[in-house]
Amino acid sequence: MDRQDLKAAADLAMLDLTEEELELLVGEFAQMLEYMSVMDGADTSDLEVTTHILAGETVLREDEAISDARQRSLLLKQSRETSGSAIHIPRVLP
Amino acid sequence: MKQWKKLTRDPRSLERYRESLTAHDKPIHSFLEIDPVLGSSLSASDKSGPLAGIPFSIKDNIALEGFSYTCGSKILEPLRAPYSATAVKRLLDAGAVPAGKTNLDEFGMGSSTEQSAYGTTRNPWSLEMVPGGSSGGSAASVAAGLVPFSLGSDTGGSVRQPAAFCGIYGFKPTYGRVSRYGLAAYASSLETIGILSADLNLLRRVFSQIQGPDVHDQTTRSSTPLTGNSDVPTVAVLSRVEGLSDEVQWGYDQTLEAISRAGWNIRKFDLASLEYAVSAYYTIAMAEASSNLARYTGIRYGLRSEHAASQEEMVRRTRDEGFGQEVKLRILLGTYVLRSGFQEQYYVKAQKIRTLIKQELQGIFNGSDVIMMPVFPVQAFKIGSSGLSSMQQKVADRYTLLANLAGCCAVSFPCGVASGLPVGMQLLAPGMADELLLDRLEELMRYLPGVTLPKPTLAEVIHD
Repeated sequence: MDRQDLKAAADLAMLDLTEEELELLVGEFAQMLEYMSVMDGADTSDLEVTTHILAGETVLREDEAISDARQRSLLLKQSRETSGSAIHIPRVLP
Repeated sequence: MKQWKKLTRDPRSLERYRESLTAHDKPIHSFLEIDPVLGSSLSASDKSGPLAGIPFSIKDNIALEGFSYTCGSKILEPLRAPYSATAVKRLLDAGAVPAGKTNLDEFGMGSSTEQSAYGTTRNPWSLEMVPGGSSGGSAASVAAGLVPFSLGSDTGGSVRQPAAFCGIYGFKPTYGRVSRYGLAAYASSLETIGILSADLNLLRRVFSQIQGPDVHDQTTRSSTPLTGNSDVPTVAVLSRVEGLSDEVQWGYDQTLEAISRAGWNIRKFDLASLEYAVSAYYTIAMAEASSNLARYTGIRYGLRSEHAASQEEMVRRTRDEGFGQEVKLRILLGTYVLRSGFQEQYYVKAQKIRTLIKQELQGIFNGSDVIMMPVFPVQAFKIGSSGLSSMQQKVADRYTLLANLAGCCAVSFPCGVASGLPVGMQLLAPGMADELLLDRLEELMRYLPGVTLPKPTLAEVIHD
């Protein structure tokens, strides 16, 4: 692991780290990765993965629209700009 | 409970309660927002509900309509929750009165509540000490006598550890028993909403209200509560427990003696996978965190950086300005272990170790009703750099995170006071045996001295 790996991860995670932050995080980052390498010692050759404790069951519900006007107005209030009942966001497509 | 109900019975009492809460919380800083008056307006007006008039606090990563929902992060500072979490909604319907929102480590990432963007919470037992975390505000609000119970969240011990540091009970239900709808996601496959209280009977009443299937959370399950397989319970304990401080070791020995006095059978076991548990846990938790926290971009809601020329720059700057160091570290590590080329080595390996831990614990539960373990190797530690480093804190989660990896239920309890601070232990039981676990704990507590909180509660302080 080196500084480049940390920078690459930051880029993928959409984090704009300053040089000082990189400096601060690189030590802990390496320390954690080293600690995680303990897992190499575990024999897991015959084991399946557990992605989720309740994996394998699908629960469905009725597909009903919520028409709670008060809740909708509370929700709309959380965005900075609205146009009528729509949330106004900055341009996301180039 | 009668005295607590008096605090919320009419507008004048509520106003007085708000003032006292604010004053008594000043040195502790357990709350981020205090408003029992507004809280009361959300609660069922029918005074015959099972929890009618009983005040409580809510960790600020669980939604309460109209209140803050910061998750302890700058990135959500402007947000007001537009709805209430299912667990909260069920308490409101039962007549309970929310008094406010409590402090936490940012997004639940920490063991001391020092990682909050809104200042550190102090331990009511000693103001120089941390209250534990990440539900440190919730634990402190109960231990300081400001509310009789609180809702927190437990991803790797975040309800049980602060409860132990503050001398109260902390219950992490089985994964799937309590809806996570309205709990801000950190590590979805590990976390549950939990309950903190100094009153075990009240904790049980709260659990019976909030548990059960919810159409808004497809991981919730209906359950037929398990019952005991023998009259005399068998409790499993590790054949070797190492690295405990003198005080925690004393608490552990006290609890073993209490188990003997109760006449329970003791069975020793080894847990080979314990060695890998912390690594596997953090790999999974960080991977899930990097994915869950990708939603905070400043585009739809929350903080938005003002100094950006393009949309992409705006997202990057918002995330850099909005997240704290520990959150950034975990997002970075989570992103790293999920990268192509590394997945097999870290993420897949961790999920296989999760299987190993689950199987080992199932094996132990085949011959035992409950497992008794320490919560944390030390008592509440000092605030600041003289305490535990963030790495030491992570390694110390090894006893609590087992229940999250296996999805089973666990409860921490106060077993005594040593060197002026409380000591906590925990009991674990198989998935869906929540009620039975609490039965067993109630029985065991008859043989332990218990803990008296450092100060009288507000219910005792405020007179008519």
